[in-house]
Amino acid sequence: MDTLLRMEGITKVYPGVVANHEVAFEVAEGEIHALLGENGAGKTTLMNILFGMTTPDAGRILLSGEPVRIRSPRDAAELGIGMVHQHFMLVPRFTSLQNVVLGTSTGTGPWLKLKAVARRLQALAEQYGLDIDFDAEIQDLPLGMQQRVEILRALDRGAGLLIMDEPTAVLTPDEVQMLFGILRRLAEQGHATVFISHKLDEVLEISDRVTVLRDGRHVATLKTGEATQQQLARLMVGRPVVLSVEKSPAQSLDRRLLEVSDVWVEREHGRDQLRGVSLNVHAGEILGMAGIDGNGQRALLEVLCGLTRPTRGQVTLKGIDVTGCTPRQLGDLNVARIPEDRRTMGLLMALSIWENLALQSYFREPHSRWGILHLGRMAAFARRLVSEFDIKTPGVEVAVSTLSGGNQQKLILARELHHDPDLLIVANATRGLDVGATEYTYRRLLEHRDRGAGILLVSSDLEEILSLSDRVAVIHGGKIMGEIPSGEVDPSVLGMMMTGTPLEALTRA
Amino acid sequence: MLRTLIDIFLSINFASASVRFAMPLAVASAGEIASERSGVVNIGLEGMMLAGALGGMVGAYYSENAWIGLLCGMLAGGMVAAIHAFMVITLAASQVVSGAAMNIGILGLTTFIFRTLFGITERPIVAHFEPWPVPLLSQIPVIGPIFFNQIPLVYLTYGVVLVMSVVLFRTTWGLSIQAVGEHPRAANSVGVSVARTRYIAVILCGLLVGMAGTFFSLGQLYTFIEGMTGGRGFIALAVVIVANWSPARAALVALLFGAAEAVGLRLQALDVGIPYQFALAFPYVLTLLVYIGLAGRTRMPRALGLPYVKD
Amino acid sequence: MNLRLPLRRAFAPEAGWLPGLGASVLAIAGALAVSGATLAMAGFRPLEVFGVMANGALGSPQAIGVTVTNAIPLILAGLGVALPFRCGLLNIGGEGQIYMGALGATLVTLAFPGLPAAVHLPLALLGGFVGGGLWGAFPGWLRASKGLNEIITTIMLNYIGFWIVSFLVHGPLKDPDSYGYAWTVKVPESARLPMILPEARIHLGIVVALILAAFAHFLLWHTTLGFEMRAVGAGPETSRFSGIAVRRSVVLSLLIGGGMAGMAGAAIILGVQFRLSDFFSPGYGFDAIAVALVGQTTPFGVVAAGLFFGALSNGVGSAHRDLGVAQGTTSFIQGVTMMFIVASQSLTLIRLLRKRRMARLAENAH
Repeated sequence: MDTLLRMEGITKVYPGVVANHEVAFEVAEGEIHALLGENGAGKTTLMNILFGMTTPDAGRILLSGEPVRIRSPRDAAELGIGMVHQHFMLVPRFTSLQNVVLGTSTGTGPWLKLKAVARRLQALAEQYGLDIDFDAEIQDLPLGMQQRVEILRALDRGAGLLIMDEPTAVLTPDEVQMLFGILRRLAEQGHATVFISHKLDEVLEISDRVTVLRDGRHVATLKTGEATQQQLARLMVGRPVVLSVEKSPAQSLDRRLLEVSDVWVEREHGRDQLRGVSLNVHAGEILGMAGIDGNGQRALLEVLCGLTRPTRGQVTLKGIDVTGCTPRQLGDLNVARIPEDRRTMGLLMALSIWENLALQSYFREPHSRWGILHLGRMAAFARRLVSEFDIKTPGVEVAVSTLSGGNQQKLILARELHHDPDLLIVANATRGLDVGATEYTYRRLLEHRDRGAGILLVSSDLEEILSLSDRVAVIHGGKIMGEIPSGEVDPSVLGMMMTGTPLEALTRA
Repeated sequence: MLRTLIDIFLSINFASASVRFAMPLAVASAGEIASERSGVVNIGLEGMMLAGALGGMVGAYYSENAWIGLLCGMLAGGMVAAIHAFMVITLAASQVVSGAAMNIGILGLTTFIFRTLFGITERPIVAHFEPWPVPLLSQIPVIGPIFFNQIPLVYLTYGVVLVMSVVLFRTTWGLSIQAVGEHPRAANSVGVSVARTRYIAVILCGLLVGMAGTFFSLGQLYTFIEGMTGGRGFIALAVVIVANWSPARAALVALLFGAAEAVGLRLQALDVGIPYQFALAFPYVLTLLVYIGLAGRTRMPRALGLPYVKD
Repeated sequence: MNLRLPLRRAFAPEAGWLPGLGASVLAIAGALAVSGATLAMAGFRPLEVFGVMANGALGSPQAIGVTVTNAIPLILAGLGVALPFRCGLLNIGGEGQIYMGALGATLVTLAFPGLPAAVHLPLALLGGFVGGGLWGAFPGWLRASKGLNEIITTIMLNYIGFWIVSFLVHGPLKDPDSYGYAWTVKVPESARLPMILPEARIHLGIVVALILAAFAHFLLWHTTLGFEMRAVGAGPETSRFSGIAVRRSVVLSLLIGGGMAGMAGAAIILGVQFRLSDFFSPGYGFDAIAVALVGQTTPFGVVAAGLFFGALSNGVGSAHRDLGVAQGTTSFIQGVTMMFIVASQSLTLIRLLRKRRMARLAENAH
């Protein structure tokens, strides 16, 4: 196979961090080449450079032997480079058709002649086996189909090289296999694919070669057939990796901390509902809630965090009925809540560290009395937490926006965990964090579990759920499909549950 | 009393006046829709309109030609819009505060320029637009005199509304505008220049709002009075929301508000026992009530008001 | 519509209030430069004009008195913009709140004629607060409960409030002995703001303004209510998630803000005009936005900015009388100053400066 793409000596520096340091990368025609590395290894930066979203400080790019300059996504598209982003670059209110058409002239001057274009796109979609509903609005389509729209768009612009950034992050196991089928078909028809991932098993399954990046540097390029999972993991992280977290077995305490009984949340628009959810969390255990984003997790979190009142059902905490409690009251009952989106739900970005740390305590003694704040005590409190949780910052007056993602998460952990909560509700705790911050978070959670707290861990990261939880529940379409002790989890069973098959149906068979 | 009311509402004069008063709102809101669809809101619409009014008057004064005045008014609006565009697109500053600042600044500047040019006491009458009956069309019973015996600005308005609707919903450029206002990052990733699209939309808005401003100086009062736009720029902002960001619907809503204004004037003139303040406050009360009534049932462009900075 | 102005400062966030002061001073300097150029184009000599302005604003006790008298409603209305701003809201309804506050104060003075001054005056001021407060709380409630954009609602209420007052002073509240002037009877002596510096003609209103500024500062930074308002302004979703009553903060901030603007109206009636008429406010409600912005939306900054703009309009008045400079200059300078401040908060600029700062920090660390 001929070399299609060669990137040489690519260097990109951002203030405070070297994202890429003299990275070399090459892709052959018709190959599926995986780009492997942890969060922050430099994979996305490298591909952003290739796709024209940003420009390198040094280095050059050659396509089919010719040096090229890529200064914008338009340049990249003209050169036949297409990208399917991790967070889809699709306009939610547009239809699939409109999204594919956007940015190109439809061949008839300035006029939008959608019907003619639709026919052409239909044919193209069939050629590559892409099942797409062209008239539906993107926001109503399942994520797998949205991804196919992005793929079609890249192909319509004549992409010979397709970059896929963490494409399986939001797919069910079935959809992953469907995607792999599409990628193989693309390879057959001569397209090259760069498959960015941090999931070793998928890399091993689909790719022809794999390049590993670490800390912004190129570490190795191997033929996938000759690599093992252990080897790749070690190259990725730089040290022998324990692929699962050290966890002592749960003390099976019978004390039921949280009981959710037949909770319903019904909404007008029909999305994000709960249709009779029941679950229990015991003291001293972690219950993991797996499921594809958008199957009711948000509604469940809102109910448990006191933001939404269920239309039916009951929530009991330590024997007390807390259905419809306010977040304040839950805080009083020693429930800690770690939100899924740090920046918009957990922090006040423009305010200082001490103000953020005081969010759960400013209205009580000793931080305030009769509505008047005791600033000195609040500052001392903040300084104590900063040192206890090792938050790297020059002082507590600084705005939270200056902290790194990991330190921001530590701030939230400090605020929620310092008063030794009985129950923790944790949502996507390590999204966007690097390895160090992730390990820290896991350690803290396990500490609390070992001390007898109960944790409900909602996450779309299956690896996280499997390594931390004592029991795993799966939510789909607003209902619990079943619960399995984590030691007995079978990935294909999980996958079936995540796509709507209840556990009983599977065990019956 | 009932007799009087019927006389008010069922007269050709009333309907014709409604169309006339609707003109600046229809044009300004069409322009603002283009801008807001691309994600930029113009709180400074009132100032832009006032600039257009002054520009029109000054242009007509020196050229003694209303059409040149119109051109000058549009240019004035366009220049103000260009400044706003620079602030909020290139500098990525707060759209709302920039707009509020412009209102204040332009009010002062227009007063300053007018007084400097014409002194304290003079208020010259300038070349202006007279109603021009469209041959044939103005003969149609009822519809003719209402819609086709108006000043040329009104006829231009019909064209503007039509063109804006077509451009927005049936051209590739219109699709780009909408994309930039809904999800600028997505638009950028397919090669649409967010900054350029927004610049064009905002400046186009300025040109149209400038045209709307000339209605007051060249189509109604034939001179310039400080603050003569009287809040219409703000009403246009409400019209855009009530019309759910569609130029054709905005023209209809503008007609409604034009009628409200005509009612107010009529009540004042006829001395029906209603204090004139009620009549003059009526358009604002109506705007408020309609806005409250339509709470939440709108399709606002998702990126409206958010500055877009490329990574 | 996202209305939250990024309150991040362009420079190091831990540097306190100094960068804000610097930014405002630079903005004013820039605006003076621009207006100087405009004056030159109109045939004036800028330095001469500025000299006359400075003298007219500060050159004698009487001049200072006029400056301070101008500043009082600007400070109060400016507080009325600054406070809701901290809660993420832009209060453009200052004008309407001023009129309704003036109405409230007047009604109180007329309804309780025989009271001693020690009671009558505070009561009248309270009436001003209530009038403006209601006129602010209503759009605040509309925003909190129905998500209705407060910009549109407050602007409409400006006009409605004005016309209500106009109707009343031409009609039911009109002074029967006024020979065709549309105003109310004179406010009784017991309800008036007394002169505290008679030579300069400065009345008690300035003390009221300063007290309210101190109160606003205390409220924002030393109370739980103020903490919640600022939290809602910095992150409404986070505030909701942690259990803050977001709606309550929104309504409260516009209620108190409206009340402050209402006090501005009361101060004008009770301190200067002594009767309610229409057209008594030359746009203080809008100028207040400039005052709040140039004052970096902090209460003491608002005081300084209010005094500055009070001096400005006084100075422009002198320039108008002595040199024939047109009156629009005040608003023009205000607007341009605001534009410079807005530009200083530009996100691209902030990013650029932050990048350079972080690059410098990274270098120093090695």
